[in-house]
Amino acid sequence: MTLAEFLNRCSFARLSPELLQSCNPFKCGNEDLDEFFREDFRLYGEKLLGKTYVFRLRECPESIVAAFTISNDSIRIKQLAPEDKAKIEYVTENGEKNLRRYPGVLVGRLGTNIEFAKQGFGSAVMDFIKVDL
Amino acid sequence: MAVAIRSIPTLQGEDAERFLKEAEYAEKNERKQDFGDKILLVRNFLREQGF
Repeated sequence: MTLAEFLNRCSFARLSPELLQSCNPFKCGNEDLDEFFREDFRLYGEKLLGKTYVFRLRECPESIVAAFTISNDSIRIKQLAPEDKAKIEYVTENGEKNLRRYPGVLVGRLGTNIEFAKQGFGSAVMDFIKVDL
Repeated sequence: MAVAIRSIPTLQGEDAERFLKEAEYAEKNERKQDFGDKILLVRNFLREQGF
């Protein structure tokens, strides 16, 4: 499935308790993740640890196709492999002092509804995150 | 009252091995994906969705 096909089939929204209530239960096959998208995402959002978003089918908005949580993050440059480190240090060179960390985005949680598994939805969500963020 | 926050699940076993293998392959791939044409697509989509 291409990103264009995926975006044609799905709508996008920030997950909220109200939205969750209007949808069918989301199950991705991992009980820990299911519980996170059912309950824990609220606390996570309130504590500003990450924002959770969902894709739903346009033709059936009560069907959550995929859900994910993202947070601000960074990569510790010292921990990178030497060739990557050289590349990043060149980019982050800042006159007198190099940056210790390189900014990034953490995809902390990602789940695809088991009803839509193995159809390319998860890969499309990753493409979306990479392009958008 | 403090509420415990669960730690982030970590890939393990076969899934972790597969992830690493595919990440290394993607890293070495000289024909990496160009997202240039997708950026406009996603921007229009987000505008349509009210973001």
